[in-house]
Amino acid sequence: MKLYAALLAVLLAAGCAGTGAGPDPWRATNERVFAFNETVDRYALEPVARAWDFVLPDFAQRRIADFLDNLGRPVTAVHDILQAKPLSAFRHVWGFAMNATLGIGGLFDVAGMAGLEHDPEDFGQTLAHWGVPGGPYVVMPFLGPSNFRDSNAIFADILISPQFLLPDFPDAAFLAQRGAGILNARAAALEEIEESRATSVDFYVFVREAWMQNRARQIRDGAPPPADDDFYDIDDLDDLDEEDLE
Amino acid sequence: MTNFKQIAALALALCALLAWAQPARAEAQADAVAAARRALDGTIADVLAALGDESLDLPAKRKRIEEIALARFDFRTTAKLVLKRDWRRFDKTQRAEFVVAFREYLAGSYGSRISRYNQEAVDVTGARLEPRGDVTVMTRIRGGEADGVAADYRLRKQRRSGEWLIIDVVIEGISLVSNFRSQFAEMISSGGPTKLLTRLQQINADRAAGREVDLPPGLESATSGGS
Repeated sequence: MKLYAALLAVLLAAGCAGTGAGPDPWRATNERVFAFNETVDRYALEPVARAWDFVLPDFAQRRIADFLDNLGRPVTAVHDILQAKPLSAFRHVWGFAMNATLGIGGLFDVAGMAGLEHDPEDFGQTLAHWGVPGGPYVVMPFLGPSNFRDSNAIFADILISPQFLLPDFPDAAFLAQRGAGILNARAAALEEIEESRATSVDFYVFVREAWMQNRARQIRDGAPPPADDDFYDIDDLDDLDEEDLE
Repeated sequence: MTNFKQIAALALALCALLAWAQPARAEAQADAVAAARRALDGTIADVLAALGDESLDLPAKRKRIEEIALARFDFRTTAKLVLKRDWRRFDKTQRAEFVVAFREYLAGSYGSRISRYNQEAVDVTGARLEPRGDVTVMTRIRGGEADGVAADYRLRKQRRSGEWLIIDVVIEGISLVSNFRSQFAEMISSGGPTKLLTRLQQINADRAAGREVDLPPGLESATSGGS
């Protein structure tokens, strides 16, 4: 663990050194991995997710999603504590207990309905909370968009997941659970991804920007972004004449 | 001594003015937020009515939602926001071409995305004043596959009509303007305005061919070059 932490620190420092050229200095490599992931998705993941979506009614898919989401609450609570947010930690532990009992083992997200929504946290967010920069954008094989910080941080999260910590937890069950999570999430986004692929002007950039903005919001815990006055300022651009549009 | 009295009188007058102006300003801001919120409430009601209308088949719903988008978005402002500094690289004709193509592209995306939803409700969860007098209205989708998704709409008041129109949509933190700006900027830097215009027009043509639905009236006149 100590060795891993030291290694991560060195890698992060190396990653920060590479941030000179915009958010995506490793684009050439990223684009190749992105193309690889697209192929995997097209020929393996998407067809299976379509079958999954066809066989399982929406109700069952929701129950699986709620169940897996609830399993993530204890991990989130650990990160709440690491980020010095004891109230959130309490909410997530309490929500987990509520779902495990009233929610029939977590199949129903009664905690969410009661206002104790799960706001997932992970090691990458904890590092960000304490000021560690994300570093360059990284597309991971199979796992997709990430950045230098988060692509390393996910290994720490596997180490503290309950399934990994429990000595008797069968590997097959661990893999089945991860697989169900991926299929379920992919099945929920079938049309959305198909539409985005067909109609985005540049799908690689679309995914990169969407991931980076969504990740920033997770790190802010859903709070609105800091106001950027310039972003929405177009006063210095000439207006279009009415007749030009006709 | 007179000097002191004058200053005191002036200070008092200023205080009175501020005391009067401060609430007036707060009131104007509250009015702006309320007006923007009302405008978005109306839009949401129209969209949900279209989605719930069982006399409409899917293409008809899509068309209806495109029409709502055309009326409720400020496409000229959004187009300029999306190009930002690159707007200056477009000549007069290209600017007009861009606004027309982008309007069709965006309304089409909105229509085909939203028309799939049918079992959803939308809660308006709040609204806040932004710099430049814009207002962001926050909503959350309830039910269906998009359950719990946060969609924020940024609205800007039209200088002439006073109408509040949508200039950006931020879904789960992902701003439409910001995302398009990055995509478009890269395309413009590699191939200039022509490359982007060609790509947009191609996507629009593909979409129009794929679904075999007449464009809404507003678009028909815009794309055929005269109205």
